[in-house]
Amino acid sequence: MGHLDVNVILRNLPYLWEGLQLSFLLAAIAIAGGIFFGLIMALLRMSSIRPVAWIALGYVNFFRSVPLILVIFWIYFLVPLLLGHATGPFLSAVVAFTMFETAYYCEIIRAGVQSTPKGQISAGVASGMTWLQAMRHIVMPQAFRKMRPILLTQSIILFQDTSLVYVVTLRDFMTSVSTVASQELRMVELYLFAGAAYFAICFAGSRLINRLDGGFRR
Amino acid sequence: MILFRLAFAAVALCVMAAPASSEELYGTLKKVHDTKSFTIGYREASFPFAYYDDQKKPTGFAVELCTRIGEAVKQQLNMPDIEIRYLPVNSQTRIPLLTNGTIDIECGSSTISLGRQEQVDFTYSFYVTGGRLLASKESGIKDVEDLNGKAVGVAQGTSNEITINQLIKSRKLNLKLVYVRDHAEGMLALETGRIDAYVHDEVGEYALLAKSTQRERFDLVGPLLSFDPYGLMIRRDDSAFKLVANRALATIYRSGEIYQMFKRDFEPFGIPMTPAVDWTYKLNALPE
Amino acid sequence: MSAYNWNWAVIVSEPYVGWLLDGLAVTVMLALSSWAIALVLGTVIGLARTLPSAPLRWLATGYVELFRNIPVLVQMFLWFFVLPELLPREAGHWLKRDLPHPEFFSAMVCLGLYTASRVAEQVRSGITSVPPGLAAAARASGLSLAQTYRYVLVPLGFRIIVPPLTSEFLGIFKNTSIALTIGVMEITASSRQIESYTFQGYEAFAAATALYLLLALLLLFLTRRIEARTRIPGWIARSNT
Repeated sequence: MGHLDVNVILRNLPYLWEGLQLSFLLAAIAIAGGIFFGLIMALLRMSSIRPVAWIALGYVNFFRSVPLILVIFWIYFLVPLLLGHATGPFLSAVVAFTMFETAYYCEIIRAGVQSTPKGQISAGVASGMTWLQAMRHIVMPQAFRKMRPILLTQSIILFQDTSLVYVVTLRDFMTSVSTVASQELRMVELYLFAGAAYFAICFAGSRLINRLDGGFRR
Repeated sequence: MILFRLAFAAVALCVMAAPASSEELYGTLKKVHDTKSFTIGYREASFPFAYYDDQKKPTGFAVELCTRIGEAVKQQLNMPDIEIRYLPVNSQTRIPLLTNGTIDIECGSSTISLGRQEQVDFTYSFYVTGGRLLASKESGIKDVEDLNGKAVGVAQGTSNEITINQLIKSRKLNLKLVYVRDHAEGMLALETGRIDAYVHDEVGEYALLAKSTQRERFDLVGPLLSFDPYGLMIRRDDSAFKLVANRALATIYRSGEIYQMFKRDFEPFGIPMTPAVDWTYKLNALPE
Repeated sequence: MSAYNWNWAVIVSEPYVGWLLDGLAVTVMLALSSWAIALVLGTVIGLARTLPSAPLRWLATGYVELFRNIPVLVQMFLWFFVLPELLPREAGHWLKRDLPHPEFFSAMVCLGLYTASRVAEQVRSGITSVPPGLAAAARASGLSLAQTYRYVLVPLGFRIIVPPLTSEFLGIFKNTSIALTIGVMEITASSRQIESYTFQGYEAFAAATALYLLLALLLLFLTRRIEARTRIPGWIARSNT
């Protein structure tokens, strides 16, 4: 393959940057959606109504048992067929990641909530709150403070996972890198660059989390 | 050229400007009418039929034919504001995305096969070729029999994969089959010595060779291994849309414009016009 | 848009059912072999992160940060496409050609080293969650540092981290699917191959999904038994899922 050619990356930077923006957007929507639905799913999972808890448990276990790639394929191909109209690849990816990550965020949130002593809910209820109010005002603030680092770490993993939309050629960062690699017949430079770029972003992200977390703890 | 197109457009308008709303629309035409968009699925590395130009825009022989079909749909529906969209597909995603309605037509280098027609349909053929071996000279491969003990690449999900697997069975070949994602990756595997030969359609191999910076290291060898007539993939049971697509193709064939396109898109890659291709255009240049 | 013709018989007919089972075998072999690498290497690196020697700690931390912050897909490409081109010609050629299944071994090394970084984190947290007084008491009663690790920290620490480790073990089975991008014919790739031969993609994906669920159930059953046997009585397990 000969010497490394840095120009091939410089020449294609604007195109790669577009891909990276799409990766960020996809990750941001999936993180927000995953935490939101994960919270709901966690509440359902802890529900005292047995069938509801079972359904939530089934959902979580299903998505924790199958690979993300398979989920992406399913959603990408099946949802338009079920809905009867095309959804577009970006929306499919958003749905796939949100559904998948909901299961993971759910478990993180559940663990956080259950680490809060039960007596606090009882105390809240005894002083006239409803169960939901006790959750909302007593348990959740504590739980979220405890699980913040794990939630953020999971979010970095999610950002890394967005690279898997490569298998359905949605134009994210990884797909853009691979397109350029194919077009210029330069794999070494492009994939090394992809590795370096992802590392820089995720490493900076995890440092930031540590700093923030230290700040909160103090 | 422009005059010619204008004249063609005028004639086409007279012939098929039946008001769209008067008849009951169905299938793809109804979908395009309702969503005001027509989505073309294109392959990213099927040279010279569908690939990226320097600006990373889809381009190529088949992409242009699909775009022209999109224009014909606009005219048929009398809706000039229909948006023509482009979406990348690969050999594994093209059929599911077509059947689930994400794309309306696939342009690349898909072989019209009977098996595929159980799930999808095709327009008239726009090219005829066959699988062939692209081998590195140092491997000494001259024919299929020389593949014994060699590493041979093929793109997953292509008709070439079926061809080579049938050959392995019928000629009892003992070779190492290496799967690649698309033809660009196949060429890279050949250049980096991961494989000794790559199985792909002859026309695509000409194009890969022309793109390669090390083209003197490789050669097309042996006979054609299969018969691969290319068509544009569309959904099944959709005669109205199929007619619009075929009419657009037949018009391009009949007017001889297809030969200009061929010259422009194929000559840079050194691909000659073969009698089979010539007859494909002549046979499908149906009259109005 | 229901232009799709369903045919469920395809996934139980020859040769396609054979492809699925081959895929299952590849998935299991890849997962087990990478897990062996991950467990050994992850333990070494995890222990190194708890040692008093600063250079060793930094080295181990560097390893964990490097492998945790690059997507597995990219690592897969780096091992398979990039590494052979950076090595001397003969070594690169050996990797690409003389190995019987280059894509399998690339995937094995990739998943093994990646998962090692995650195992290392679990090992470290297991060791550090052993009350420091225990280690101090061991040293005070004359045990060397190696002996303290051998007889006190490692046995206790490992029993604490069995639950999170089993979840990593399940994870490696799912991550094997990423190897399809470099041509490993595991379960998901087999289902895609069936799609390209029969054009019955949905049935093939359903079969693959069912295989993953069965695999997960089986593994869950096995790991629950291991967890039950290794639980330390009186120690409240931190659910680290």
